[in-house]
Amino acid sequence: MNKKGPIIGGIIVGVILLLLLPTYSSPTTSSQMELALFIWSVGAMIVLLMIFASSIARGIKILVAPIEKRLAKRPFARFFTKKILFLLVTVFLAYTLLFVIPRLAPTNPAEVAVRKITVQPGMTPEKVEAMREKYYDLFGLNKPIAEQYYSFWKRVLTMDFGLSISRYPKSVANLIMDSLGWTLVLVIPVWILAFIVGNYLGAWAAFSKNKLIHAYYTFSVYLNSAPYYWFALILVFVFAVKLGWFPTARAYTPGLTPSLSLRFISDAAYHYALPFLSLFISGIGNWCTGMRAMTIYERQSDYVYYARQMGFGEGKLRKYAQRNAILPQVTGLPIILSSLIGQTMLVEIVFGWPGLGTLALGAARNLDYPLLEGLFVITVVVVLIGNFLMDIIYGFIDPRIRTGYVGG
Amino acid sequence: MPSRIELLARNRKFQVCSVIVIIIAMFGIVGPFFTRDPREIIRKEDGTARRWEPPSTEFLLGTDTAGRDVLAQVCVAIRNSLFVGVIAGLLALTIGVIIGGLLAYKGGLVDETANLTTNIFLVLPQLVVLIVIASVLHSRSLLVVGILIGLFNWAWMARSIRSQLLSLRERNFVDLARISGKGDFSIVAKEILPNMLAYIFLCLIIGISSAVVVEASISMIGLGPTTAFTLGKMLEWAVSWETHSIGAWWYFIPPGVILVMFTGTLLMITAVIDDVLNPKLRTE
Repeated sequence: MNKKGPIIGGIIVGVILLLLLPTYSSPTTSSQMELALFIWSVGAMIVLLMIFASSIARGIKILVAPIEKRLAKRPFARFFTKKILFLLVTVFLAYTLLFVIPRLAPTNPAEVAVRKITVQPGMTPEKVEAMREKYYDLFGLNKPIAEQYYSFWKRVLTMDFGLSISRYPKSVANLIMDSLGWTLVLVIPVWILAFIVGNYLGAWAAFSKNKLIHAYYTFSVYLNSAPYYWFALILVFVFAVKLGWFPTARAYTPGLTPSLSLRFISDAAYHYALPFLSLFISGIGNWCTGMRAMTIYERQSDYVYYARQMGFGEGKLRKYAQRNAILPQVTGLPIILSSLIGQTMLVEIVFGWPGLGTLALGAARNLDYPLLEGLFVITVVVVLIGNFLMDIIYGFIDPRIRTGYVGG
Repeated sequence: MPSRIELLARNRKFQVCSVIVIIIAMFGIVGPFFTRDPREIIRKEDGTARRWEPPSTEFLLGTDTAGRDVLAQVCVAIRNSLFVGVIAGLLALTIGVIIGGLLAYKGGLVDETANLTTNIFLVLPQLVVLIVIASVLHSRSLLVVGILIGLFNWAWMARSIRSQLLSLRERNFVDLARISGKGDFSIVAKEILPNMLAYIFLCLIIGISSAVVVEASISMIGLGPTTAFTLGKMLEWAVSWETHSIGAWWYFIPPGVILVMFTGTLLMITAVIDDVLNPKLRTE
């Protein structure tokens, strides 16, 4: 029975690949034909992998054994190596995905971009032809797939994505570096502060019978389930348009140049208030629900019961329960970071904040593919490094993780 | 001992939440039959369009920049958003059950690979990935958008289904099934999954509500469905027409309120189901 499993799995994958073949039987460019071959060879490798899964697993174990032996006595080094490996594999697969997706699309990405340009006013056939050549060059569609893949990684590793199309002639790297700071200024404080306040509120809601706290708890859970930019719209409508307390848009008054002068900083802070608040208030709800449930759960566990029998005070019990309840919450931090970056990008659009979101909007509207590629690469790196750091910090906080007592 | 369903049906919170969700869904399902055509431009006698009219008895939610009925748009938008949500939720659930359920049960290298895949999808910034994919597709129907969202929204499901399954796997009835010679697939499908049906149902609910929000997010970048009205498209237009600056609150508040009410109430329902079905929380 057990030996049949991998073979059946392999056959199923093979059949699926066979069904996929017609999609590539009418390629518009020769490189798409090559891609079909590429996918087929990957598929064949998966089939072989599944058939020989058990022997491969044994082989890997034998290969890894000496390293494992060395690391076994140093659990933290083992933990660290594991996380580094995960980081590298994730980066590799994510970027490969970025490479494959546009080439997998049923439409030729260069033709889509060209069609979009053709409808713009003042376009002559010659100009369109020139653009088409440029796009084919850009995607490398007239080169073999292996060479495209090589030059893709060269672009990624050197962070040189060429010039932006929608904001010609600025370079993609410069555009992104200018915007990244503006986005991180919003993301990082919100990420940390919402975690602290949200957990505090959640733990409070678990113990307290106060109606006001429960009302606020419900409010923030509801708010968090909507896209944050909608709350931003409402804040702008009420506090900027109707009451006129804050500016409606931008990160600083036009005219001013970014510098460290008091005038600029106070002006930036004034513009910062609304985007920050809309993200912060919405973000709290992320943590409230989990923390409330975890605290209630911990409060009923045996050690709390025991401590109560021992005559510990209510405050002490609460502290013990909360300390254990917060641990799973910390694991959530990296996941929230990746969704928070997305939410921030959208809130930026509402405020015209000069960050990655506004950049992405322009790139998506104009099919500025070099810029999109750069944005993807940078955001993935930021999220993954944030993730990696959190994993390491978590290892420090919870000794069970770093010693491999429980799976990380 | 009343059954789980009875326990739920008796819960006051559950009753209120279900009524809210049903009302919103009815707006989408039945509403479009009673409203005007959302694309019809309403004109004055002299032929000019009746643009940006505030809510009145004639137009309950006013008109938009082209003089179209906002209420009709909202109804169609609810229907389309629900459609995207259900497609994406079902697809994500299928992938989640296969990867977090079947492959995790297999254990060994298969599970390691499946778990690695889950972790990778979990940390990828979903919005950015969707932007890249959506931007290369020339036209996007509701179905395509639903599938795209589903393809990138299953990781958290797989992870929570996996952790549930790992604890169920050690139970006696699973051992018994294994001894009696059942295959892995039939153990997972016939023994384990039925025991976590309530949990899978929770996953589906959260999957649908999060897909509706993701749709609203990618629409904001201008990469939602190309032609259809959805809640996200309405919010996108609200921002690009600067409705908040010109004071046309009747255009951006209704879609948002419906989004918040719908997704928030679904989350509340999952919390209530959890409270009722989880004995440890119930004693509270």
